[in-house]
Amino acid sequence: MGLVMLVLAAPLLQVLLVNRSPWGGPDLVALAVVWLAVARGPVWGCAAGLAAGLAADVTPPADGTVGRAALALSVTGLLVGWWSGSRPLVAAGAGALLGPLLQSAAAVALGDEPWRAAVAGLPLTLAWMVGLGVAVGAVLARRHPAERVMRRV
Amino acid sequence: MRRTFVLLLLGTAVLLVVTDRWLLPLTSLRAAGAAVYGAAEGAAGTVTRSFGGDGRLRELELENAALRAELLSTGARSVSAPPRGVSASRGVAAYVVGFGRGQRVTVDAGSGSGVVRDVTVLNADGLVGKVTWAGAGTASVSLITDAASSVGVRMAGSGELGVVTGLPGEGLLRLSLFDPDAPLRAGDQVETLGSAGGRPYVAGVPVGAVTTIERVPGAATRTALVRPAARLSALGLVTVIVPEPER
Repeated sequence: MGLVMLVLAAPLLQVLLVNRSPWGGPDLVALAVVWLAVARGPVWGCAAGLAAGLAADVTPPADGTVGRAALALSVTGLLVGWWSGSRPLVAAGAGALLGPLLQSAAAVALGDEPWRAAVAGLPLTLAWMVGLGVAVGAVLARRHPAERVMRRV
Repeated sequence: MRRTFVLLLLGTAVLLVVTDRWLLPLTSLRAAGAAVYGAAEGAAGTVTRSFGGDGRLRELELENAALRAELLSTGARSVSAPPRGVSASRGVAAYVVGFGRGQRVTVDAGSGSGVVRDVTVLNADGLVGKVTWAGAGTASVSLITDAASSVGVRMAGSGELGVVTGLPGEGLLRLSLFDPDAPLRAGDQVETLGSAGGRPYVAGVPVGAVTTIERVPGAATRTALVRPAARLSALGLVTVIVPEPER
């Protein structure tokens, strides 16, 4: 329940707080998806990616293609869930980078944004994401070591 | 079983993209999102402002917005009579409540207040942008620094015509004057030329001041960098110029 709330509240926090920071900021939606994927595995990660991405797509002021972030983040959630079985730290860090990268790529591919605009804020976001993604992985690896071993077997 | 479920999820995402992009826009889905998340953004904005203790200011701000719109419309009329079939416009005061990635913001006035798409948004300092989508209680505004934005402008002194486009990531604008030999100096003021019917942009709104002149030998246009008059990174109260309904 808490995790579902996290996924649905992430787009709101993103537009209310994070995006107004002048020093860039993390992509909270992608982080929430990575969290769920590492904690619960690929199926949950994929479902969370779809739900959170769809929410992010329709949260004003987003006006790109509906389903763009949903597609990018469901792929991210699935991959992170797969990788996290053996190495949660690496999986979380890589997934946190993959989320924003895939979203920007999708925005350019679908013609929603010119590529110069899409890459303009990307380096700062990626710097935030790699740090916070590894932190998420570390927290979860410490919290659920037993679950992870069971799932891997 | 798990594989089927995952494929179903991915298929849903692809279907959403294909439907919205190429088949028919999912307006109802977007409206639902705007209703839920927009209302939450508006409520969060109201709560944040109430801590500032400016509840009483709201009335004055509304009045200011109305006066500003009136001033603009009368100013435009003195230069040239508005084309026939164009009704008067009024200003709607709104607060910026949400910030998107890139150069987009949410304001807490929507179609309930008469806001429609492609209308001017400005604040006390100058031009902010235009409305790209209006939901029930909120509207999305694309700022003039957006890479896709382009505004027809006139130099305040010389009256030279040009276009101002957004530069991604820098918070500046690029001005291109149509006359390559036009006189141009740093500090020159740029204002909107105005579109037919005042949509998306009304005439005579300050856009910014020229900071750097780019010298490109042999260029077909004169280009310069312009710093926006409105502080677009710290937006609060804005005015949306909406068309008055026909009576």
